[in-house]
Formats: sequence, C-alpha cells, structure tokens
Amino acid sequence: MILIAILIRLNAFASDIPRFSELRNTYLAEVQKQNRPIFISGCALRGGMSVLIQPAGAQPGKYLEIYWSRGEQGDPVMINVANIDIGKNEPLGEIMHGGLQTWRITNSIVKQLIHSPFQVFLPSDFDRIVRLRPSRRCDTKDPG
Amino acid sequence: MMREPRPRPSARRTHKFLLIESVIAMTDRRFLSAAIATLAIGSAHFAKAESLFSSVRSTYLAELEQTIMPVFTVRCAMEEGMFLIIQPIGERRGHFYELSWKNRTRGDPEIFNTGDVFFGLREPVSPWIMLGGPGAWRIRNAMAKRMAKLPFQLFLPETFDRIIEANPTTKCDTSDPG
Repeated sequence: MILIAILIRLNAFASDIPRFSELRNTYLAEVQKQNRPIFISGCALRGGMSVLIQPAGAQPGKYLEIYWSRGEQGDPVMINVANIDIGKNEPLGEIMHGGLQTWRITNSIVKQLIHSPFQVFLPSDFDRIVRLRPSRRCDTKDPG
Repeated sequence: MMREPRPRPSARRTHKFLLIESVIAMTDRRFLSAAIATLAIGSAHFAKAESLFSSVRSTYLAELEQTIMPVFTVRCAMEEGMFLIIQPIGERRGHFYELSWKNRTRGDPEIFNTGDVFFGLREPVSPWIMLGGPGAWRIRNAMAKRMAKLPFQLFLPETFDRIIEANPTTKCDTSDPG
C-alpha cells in the first residue's frame, strides 16, 4: 500500500516537471517565428547542464537547468526554469524557482553564465540546444 | 603531336563579359547604388580618418547605458587594430567596427569602418550589411560572418569601458572569401 502511494506520488511529481519540448514549442517557437537568433551560455552539471538563453532584441531571457537522466529520449526534463532580465541592476533577485538546488547556488550559476562566452544560435538551429554538452563545469559551491 | 589550340583573345574577352554580366545580373540595381554610395562615404571617411571610438562610447554606448541595456560583443585582433561587433540584447541591429590603433590618441582607437549587422535566419549575419571602406567590403562582410561564429562576451552597462580595454587574443581570419 505504501509502495503504491509512493509510486503514485513519484508519478505525479514526474508529470509536474516540465520537459524541454514544452519550452521548444512555446517560448522558442515564438522567438523562431520572430526570426530572432539567440545567444546561449552553458555549463555542465552532473547529469545535465545549466543554460542561459537570451534572444537578440527581446526580453526576457531564460535560465534553464536541464537533466538528461530523467528525460525521455531527446526530451530532457527542466528542473529549474526562470525568466531572467540581464539588463536590470539586480538581475538575479527575481529568477528563483523551485528546484533541486538552493536558490543561492542557482543565482551563483547564473552569474557564472553571464560572465562566460556566449554562442549564437540561428533560428534554424534551435533543435540543437538539447544536444549541447558544455565542456566547462558549473561551480555548484554554495556562495553562502 | 597534337597541340591543344589556345583560346582566341575574343573568347577570353567573352568570358570576362560573361562574368561581369552575371555579377550585374545577380545584383539588384538598388543594391549596386547603395554599394557605390556606401563605398563613396566609406572612402571619404577613410580619407578623413578622424573618427575615434570615444565618440561611440559617449553617444551610442552611453544611450544603452542609460537604458541599462547590456551588450554582447565579439572581437578579433588585427596587426594594428581589431574588428568588433556590438549587439545590444534588446535590439535587432548590431554594429560592426574596424578599429585601428595606429593613430590612436591616449588609447582611443580610430574607426576605419562601421556597418550594421543583422543576424539572419540561416546566415550568421545578413549578407547585405554593406560596410564602407577602401573597396574591401566583401572581406569585411566575410569577416563579420566569421566573427558571428566566435564566442561572444556579455558586457553589463557598468563595464562598457572594458570593451576596448585590451587587445583580443583571437586573431582575425583575414583571408579573402573569393
């Protein structure tokens, strides 16, 4: 009985977690429709990656934490999804959403990504985002 | 022994005419006049060569600073200067600069070439980003496309002064695209 309850709970949790395809079909599809390229900066996490997506000429950008291990083939899950306005004086205060890491660590990763090199993805290349494997690892130390 | 006949001069001339005709056919008249106009402006600008980057800093970048708009930049080094693309995150249009250290005043480089840059649907930058200059717009356009494939760096408004602070470590690929 307990096992069944746990399984139901786990299943419900899993269905709550957004998948990358949802973002691809909504936010990225809209950016694509507007014919805007995006600038992407990423770093590797264990079993996934953190990426910052900033379309040219449109706000807001997105911060994503993508994990392959829990995703279906080619459609990974996103543990953290947040809007980010890099232009604000304190851009990191608003981005926190629930996730596996504390918000302090997430904010620290966003700062790292802002100061990392960005790559341009043309609208025709958006499907390649999930195939990215950043070589640089995110520093996941709690800044305190 | 049979020798291959040499092409007659008239045939060679025909080839040249065909080439010129195909170039004209490929280019729209508007494009051609825009090219000529930009080349003329660019040449005049080149002749004067007194425009310094500090003017860009005090106008264009100062405006972005006021609206708190960060910019993505990509740079590569030339022998006596650098190429620079500035793409504000809130705008569709970016700017391309060819800067020279040769006659700089107190670390302020001269602007040799400027142009607009649009990142297109399939091309890293739109092919019609016409740039002024001493006749080498084709090389500049190719340069902008190559640079669009390099890693960009994000500069927040309070760090704009660092955009041209140091020479970039990446060398520009200046080969003629042909």
